[in-house]
Amino acid sequence: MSATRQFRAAVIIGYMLSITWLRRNLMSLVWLFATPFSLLFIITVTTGGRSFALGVIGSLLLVLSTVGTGIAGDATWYRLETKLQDFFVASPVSQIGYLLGIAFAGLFFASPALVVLLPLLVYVGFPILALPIALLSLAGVWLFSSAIGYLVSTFTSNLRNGWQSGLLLSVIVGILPPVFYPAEILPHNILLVTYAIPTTNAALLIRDAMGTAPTLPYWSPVTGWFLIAVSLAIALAVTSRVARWRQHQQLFNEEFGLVQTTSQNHLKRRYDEAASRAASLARREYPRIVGILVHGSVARREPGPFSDIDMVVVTNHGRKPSEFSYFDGDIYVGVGFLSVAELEQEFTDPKAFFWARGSAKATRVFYDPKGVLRRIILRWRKTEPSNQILEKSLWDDYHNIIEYSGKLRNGWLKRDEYLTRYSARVIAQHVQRAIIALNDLSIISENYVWNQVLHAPKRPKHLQTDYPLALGIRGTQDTRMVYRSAIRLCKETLRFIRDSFERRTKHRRFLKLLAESLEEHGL
Amino acid sequence: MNAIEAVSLSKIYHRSKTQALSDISLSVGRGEIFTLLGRNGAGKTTFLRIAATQLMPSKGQMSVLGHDARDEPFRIRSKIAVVPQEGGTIGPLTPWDHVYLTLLARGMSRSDARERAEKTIGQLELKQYRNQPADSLSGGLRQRVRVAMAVATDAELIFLDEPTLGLDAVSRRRIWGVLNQIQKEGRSILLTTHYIDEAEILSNEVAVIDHGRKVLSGSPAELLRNVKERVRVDIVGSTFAPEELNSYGRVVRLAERFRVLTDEQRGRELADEAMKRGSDVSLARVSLEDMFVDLVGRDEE
Repeated sequence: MSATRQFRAAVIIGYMLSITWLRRNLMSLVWLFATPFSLLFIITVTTGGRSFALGVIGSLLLVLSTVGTGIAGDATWYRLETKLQDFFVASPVSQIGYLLGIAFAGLFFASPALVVLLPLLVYVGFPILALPIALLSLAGVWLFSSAIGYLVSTFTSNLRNGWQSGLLLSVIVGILPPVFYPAEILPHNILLVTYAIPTTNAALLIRDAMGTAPTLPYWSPVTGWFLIAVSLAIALAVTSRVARWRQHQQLFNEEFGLVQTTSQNHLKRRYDEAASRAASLARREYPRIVGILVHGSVARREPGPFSDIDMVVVTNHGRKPSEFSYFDGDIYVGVGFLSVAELEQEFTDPKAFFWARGSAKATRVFYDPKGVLRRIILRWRKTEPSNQILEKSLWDDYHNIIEYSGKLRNGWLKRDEYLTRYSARVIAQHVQRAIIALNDLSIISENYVWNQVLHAPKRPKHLQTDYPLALGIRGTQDTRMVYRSAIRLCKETLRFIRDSFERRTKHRRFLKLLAESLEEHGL
Repeated sequence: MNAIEAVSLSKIYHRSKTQALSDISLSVGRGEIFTLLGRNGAGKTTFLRIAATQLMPSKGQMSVLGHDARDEPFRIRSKIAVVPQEGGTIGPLTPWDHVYLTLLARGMSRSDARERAEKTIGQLELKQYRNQPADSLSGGLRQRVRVAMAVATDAELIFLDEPTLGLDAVSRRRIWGVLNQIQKEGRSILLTTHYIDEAEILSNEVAVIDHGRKVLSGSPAELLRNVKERVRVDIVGSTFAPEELNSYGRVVRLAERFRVLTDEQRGRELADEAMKRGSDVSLARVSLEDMFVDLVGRDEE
């Protein structure tokens, strides 16, 4: 859902948990009015009315911080008792939408108190034109308290603790800081500590707008706003990072020998670290190498929990070391060696061309001081197969498909399931290579090659049915189905190669083979 | 594409020393009612919560409606809805408030939400309680309200965690009826229950979970084939000696009742004999319950 829809969801959740509630049960307002107005009463009476203005400011801030910190209890109730949080986790509403919804509920609950207190604030001397300032600082206090209230609720394991931590937070945020009493009477050190709480700053800002703010060390309206913004940003950041929405899995448990497979990001990090270690090992052992690169899932940044690391060390000088492999923790690392010449050679080998070009798209260079590998890879990515490579490749496939169609038919005649299925598989593999060549595909990984082949634009008519069956990636007990698919795959692919490549072939013998009538050979 | 595809799924909770789920693989087809059957604490809820993107798995793959539950929960969440286990209703809000407002919060338009809420409240026969505070409703009605909150959504896949726990027979049947209705609409359901009759009546597929492992899965009919015996004879106030009963077949003790599982021939003989001796006796085909007791009840005997 977009941000506007999350906001709409938040308003609806807020409406549902407050106004709908109040419409059915007015009693719930009492608790909110009780404490702030009692304090206002006591302060006014004990000071003979002199501190009435401070009392109004304090009550306002206490109301807004209490509806926020009260979320510690409310949200615990929604999570543990009604399971409303679980309901919304498994819905399009995001955690921020839900948090904001509960915060709105608090704000709506507070609105009757605000309707009484805001006019009182104006009455005691707050300039009406400055009201937006008061509202903005009040909003800061409300959001800050809501964020910490919600944060605490997600870690609370029983309801009673939830309500109690809400009360405690409310005292810390709304009563102890200098909101009901003047900040200037606090000792210097303690005053500095209270600057960290947004209610202090909000109270001072309101007094500033009324012209009754004292001169305090290190404090000005600008620092006040700055401190509110910083504390709010910290509270929101911590909440969105730490608060539990979806419950996370727990860490490695040695007793069960379980791999610590957490999120994809975590996996990536583990594999990257192992690859870096392997690279520095290779550099230490063979200081004169040209560069190091990694192929496969780690290069594509999509390792699975059981992936390995395919590392290639490129050399140029002297004898090439023999390849080696080892386990780094539970990650298997294979290190091979290639000379620059061998690396280049892959592009003249028709069997390797499309794979090499594909892997160049997903190769990560780990060490390349002179930029040799980067230049090669960049060139590879743009390379197009020569006609010679295409011809060699297709000729080889054409020939093999014919050859294995013979084995396939022999196998089926003799009811030899192994031979039938084996030949079908070899045929499918050659069809796969032919489709790759004809479509000029770059094979990024053997994990997806079948997928790329199935979706290639130029393909025989029944490829999507026949190729998975013949290759055996779609299983069936019925060997007859495999046979039928494989034989149709042979026929259609041979014709497809002939029709698409006949005019481009230069080699006399391939041309002659293509000219042979397939029907005459039962194909 | 299946609605749910789990491969070697495991889950270990932080504090406990046992695996809540261990190496579970199963798939739920589209448009199916799939039931996880098991005793309390077997791991059903853990599985459901992982699939509903409420809980992270420790190991293995979970794909829901074609998306990975670990990495793409946002893509899944707009297409699912859940009835969490043993939840409650919200204080003085009415059934209508619960259903209509949560539909709005999920992003539905007012007119759609009104129409769907109206329809679902009708289906679950909550019409006459529509505007009563949930606080004043009975447990069964409140549970129906919670089911309605999920059912009324346009989710393709609905999770119900023990939706009929502690309900009377009438309320249970109302909920069953609605679940069948959802299935007819082509939506899929993952259900957990420890009521065997519920699993037998409702589901296309059942997986029996015990101690975090999948013990067995298949359609109810397939599961029944796991019980060797064809009939069961229940005898109350037995005048038989234990060895005597053993000679007829397998004996299971159920409170003051003896249940003998056996073939039809010997079952009939035993029933006749018991009747002659004046015991209270009944003869019936084996049910999923026998299979269930057979599978997961052994360590308690």
